[in-house]
Amino acid sequence: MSLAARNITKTFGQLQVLDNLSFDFPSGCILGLLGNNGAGKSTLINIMCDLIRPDSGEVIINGEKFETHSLEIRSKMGVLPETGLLNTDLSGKEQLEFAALLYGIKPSDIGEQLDTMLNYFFDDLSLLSRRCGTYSTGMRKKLGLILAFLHKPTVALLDEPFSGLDPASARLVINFLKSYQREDRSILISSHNLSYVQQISTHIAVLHEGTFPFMGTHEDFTEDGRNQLENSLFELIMPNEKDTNDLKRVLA
Amino acid sequence: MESIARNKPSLYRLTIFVLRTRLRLIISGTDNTALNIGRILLIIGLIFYSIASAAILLVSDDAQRSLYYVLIMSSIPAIIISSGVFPVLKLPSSVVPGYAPLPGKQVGMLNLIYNLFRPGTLYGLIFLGVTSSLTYSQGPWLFIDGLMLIIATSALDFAVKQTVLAAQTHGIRGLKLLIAAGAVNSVGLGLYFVMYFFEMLTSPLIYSMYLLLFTISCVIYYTYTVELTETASTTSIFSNDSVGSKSIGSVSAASRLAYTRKHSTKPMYLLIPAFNLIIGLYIYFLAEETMSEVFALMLAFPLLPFTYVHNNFWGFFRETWLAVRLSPAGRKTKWRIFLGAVWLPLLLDAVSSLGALIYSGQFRLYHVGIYLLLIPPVMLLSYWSSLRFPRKVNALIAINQMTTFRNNTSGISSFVIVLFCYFISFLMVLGSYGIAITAAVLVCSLTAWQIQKCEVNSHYKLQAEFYK
Repeated sequence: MSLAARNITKTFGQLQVLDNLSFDFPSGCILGLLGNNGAGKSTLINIMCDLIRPDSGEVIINGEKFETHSLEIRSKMGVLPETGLLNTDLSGKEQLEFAALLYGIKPSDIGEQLDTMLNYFFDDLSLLSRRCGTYSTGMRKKLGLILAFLHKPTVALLDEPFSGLDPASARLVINFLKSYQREDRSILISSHNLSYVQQISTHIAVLHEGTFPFMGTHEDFTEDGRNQLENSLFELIMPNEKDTNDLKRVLA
Repeated sequence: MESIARNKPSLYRLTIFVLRTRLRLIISGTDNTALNIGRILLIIGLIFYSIASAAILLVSDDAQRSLYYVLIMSSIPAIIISSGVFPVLKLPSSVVPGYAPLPGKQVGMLNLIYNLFRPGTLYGLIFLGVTSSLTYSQGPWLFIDGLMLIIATSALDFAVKQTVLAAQTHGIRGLKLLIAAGAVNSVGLGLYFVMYFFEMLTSPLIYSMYLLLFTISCVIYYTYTVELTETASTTSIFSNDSVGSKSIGSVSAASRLAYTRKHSTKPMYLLIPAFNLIIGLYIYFLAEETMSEVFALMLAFPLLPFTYVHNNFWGFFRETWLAVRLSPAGRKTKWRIFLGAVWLPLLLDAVSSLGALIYSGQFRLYHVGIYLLLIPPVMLLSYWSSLRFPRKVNALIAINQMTTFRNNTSGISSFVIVLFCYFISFLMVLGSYGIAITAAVLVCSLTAWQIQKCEVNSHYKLQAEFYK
């Protein structure tokens, strides 16, 4: 499933977050969305899954406008929001049951898939009987991922999937996403962790001052792999290193 | 491979799921066993009250039944509004994720069920279920009217509390909304009882039609409020004069809450006891006319303990106490809390004493004068003790309300306090004012001690969360 946006603009108060943004993202890729804090990555993801309406512009999924085929597209979309991904009063099992009901899935259709995913991410499944409010950040994130992929979505929008994860859990997530990637599936990942993005993404998009100064393949971005991702990113969003002399003086 | 999701999930199954999980949350929603036991004991007490109410309806003659009917019905809003003792109110008020493949109306309906099916609603349903099933021989009107009252009051109660919470955390103009729409709906609820009591309408059907209109009005009010507060929350976070406007990602949720708080809506807490005061007077005055002392006592029974516990635990005491403990500036104001704790028993004693005086035939007109003189100082005391805090304390109060620690109150202590209040009610009506006032002071002290004990355990954790 391809992802595209046409002339997306979004402002909050007097702050312009997205400025006439357009892009086409082919099917079968993993797109790493990079940018500073407050650059608008989460806003873009929220617009892509229709949680926030843009001031102008439209989102197009697989050639169809989101607005006109909203329910059909939503049913094929998996979302991992940055915050509020779990209802803290429900147990993990109840979360899974609720997600299955929301996507109209019969338990018999996903029994083996669910067991496999749970055993992959969790060592102790008995924890799933406890309220989600008692879970660690990492456990919430992993459960959120399972919920996002429960219905085998063809488009996945993941906002900061690695935040709060220890290195071992992050590796689990990376391998999970690699296993999930297919020709007809698209995954969009927003992250601050360049190391993980480097390992997994096939395409890179840099969001800066409301626009994409770069969007293309991973190889193009890092000049055929000669540069590290970090160097290429800083060239775009912070070309001049800030002077620290004054800082050193006042902190002395 | 295509997604295995279907385009049309079963709304029926989703509704059953929401109701089932909500019920479990209310009965055993916390990891605190004592609190869960307290809840169950409270429900048992409520069942006894329901049976007593049904018995009154069954044994009364036709002339008195209308009065008993309206008194029993008035218990429903009293129970629902006063059941904030176990608050489960949280923002956001949505159980269905915004990206779920459901039409907007279905999402709204599921969220409505989730938000309205709260402890007070469950207590109301238990009360209605037992009472109406025991009196089924007298027709369906009690059930129909009661059900509409439960929906209407729950919607009204949730909308009011949500607005207060949103106003505290995001600084929206909650009070204006409350005064405009909430007051209109409250008057509508009051009118229903007044019309019933004075037989201004002619048939049960017309009463029910009125109640239906009122219920629709309350649900519209709820929908409007939820929409407004959610929009206002988003605008507030991103507004230009908030810290979060320029670098959302770098501002933690806690500090964002603290800095976006613009004004307090503490005066709302003055309206709650005032509302209870009116209901209390209403019941006592009506009871004086036609009811036997025992029946009147049974009907007035749940009001006092629910009111007392509600105001102490959900009202100002818990949150201000915790805020005072946390903030260095707040610690200087600690003694205000103790003074503030006095005003509630004073007010409640005043209400109960007046009723008791009327019962015992010792009521004189100057009692009303004393009563009226008592109201302004206690109101001012409560305002001064709970509102005039430094900004930092107010910010912490807002955060306290957003945490789960507020639910850690021991259920057993809550239940013991409720029992104490029952006992005080008995003493008041029997005329033992001295003993009753002593007992009220004792209850007040116990409450303060228990709250302090509960909060001390959690405040270090909260402090860490706030300053991280």
